[in-house]
Amino acid sequence: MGSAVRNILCVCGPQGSGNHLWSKIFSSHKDVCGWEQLTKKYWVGHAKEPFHETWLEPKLLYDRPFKDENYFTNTSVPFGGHVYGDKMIPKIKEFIETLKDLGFNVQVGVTSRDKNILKLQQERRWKEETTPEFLDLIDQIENPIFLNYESLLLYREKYVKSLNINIPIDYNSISKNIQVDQNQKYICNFKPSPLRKR
Amino acid sequence: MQFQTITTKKTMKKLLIVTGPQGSGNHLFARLFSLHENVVGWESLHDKYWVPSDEEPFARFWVHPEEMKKETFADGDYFCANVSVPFFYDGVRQTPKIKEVAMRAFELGVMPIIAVIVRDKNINKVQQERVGGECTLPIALDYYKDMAVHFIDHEAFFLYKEKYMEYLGRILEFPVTKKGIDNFISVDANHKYVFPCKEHWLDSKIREGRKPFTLRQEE
Repeated sequence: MGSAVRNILCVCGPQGSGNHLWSKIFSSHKDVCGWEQLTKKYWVGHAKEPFHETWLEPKLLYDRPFKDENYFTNTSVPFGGHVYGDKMIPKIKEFIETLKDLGFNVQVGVTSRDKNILKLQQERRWKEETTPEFLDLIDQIENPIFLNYESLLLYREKYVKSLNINIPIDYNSISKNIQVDQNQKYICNFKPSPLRKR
Repeated sequence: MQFQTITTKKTMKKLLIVTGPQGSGNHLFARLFSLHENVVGWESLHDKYWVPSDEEPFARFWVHPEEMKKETFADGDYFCANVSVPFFYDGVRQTPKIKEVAMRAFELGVMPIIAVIVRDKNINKVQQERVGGECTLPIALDYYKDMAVHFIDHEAFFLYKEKYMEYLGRILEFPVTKKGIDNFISVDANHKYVFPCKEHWLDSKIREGRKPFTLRQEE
């Protein structure tokens, strides 16, 4: 280990809460060792995320060489799904503590998206709502930075700049990576009944 | 405006200006930030479900910031003010003078903190069109464009609740309480706008990517 401070931004969140989008953004800077493959393809499974195995078995971090100054990693909670027989819960607390033990300056981002949309999307893709499984362990994360999908879409660079992230960020990549508003397809107008009362 | 870059002395009073596009959750967050016992906020919202925005304690200052005086901040150390952009004052729609209020507060020795509420833009748009007949979101976005602000996310509050309020207290350096917030979580105002969508083109690709390597098709 060198004497320079090494930063790592660990992002986690419910399935479908924008994990891939945030990963693209935070992996885009040339001085960040992140999920490079995802910056070149629209979608890549989390099984190919460079730190994937270590989220499941954090002790493996001790065997890993760290030559860069800035790192980024991401996982969803849970990972996989019952319907495919590969559902797993990343060991978030142990993962963070191991990184701290290795001398990293660790920031943890927690992704957020409208909970109604999350529920519908999870039920469609994974046949069950999985957000509660992330909520069960969020108290394990001290001082998270919340990364909100809706704020990102509306305020983009201005929003990301407000987050005080320690790793370098390529702000030009933000709008480039927001190709579609993924919430739009779920939203319909609501017409209140004339009889509706507060 | 660069208020956030100035070191805040512990003795300095604070004015949290919570603002957002119309229908983004202004009343909700005005209530939440007024809950802490050390905060002087929008008291009448504690008793009533809805109060017109021009009856908010700071309402007159959004139009006449020069009328704000030292006495305005006599009753405490932490103040919460709220206004939407645009807002109605005495029946007239106008853009509140948030920047001027913040400057005036600073001149009076009170540290202003500006926090912008965000709600899903699709929902915000349909709500504005239904309630006011037009989408005013662009007016707000244009107004906030050059301001140094923090962000408050409507959806994150309903998902993470107390944990999100703790976070807001931390980033805003403003007292918040978890006590009583349950009263505001029971009704998720977004729910009525959200409907299932049919199969999305990426669904099958993601499902494929979730299979064990041995069962996955070669790319």
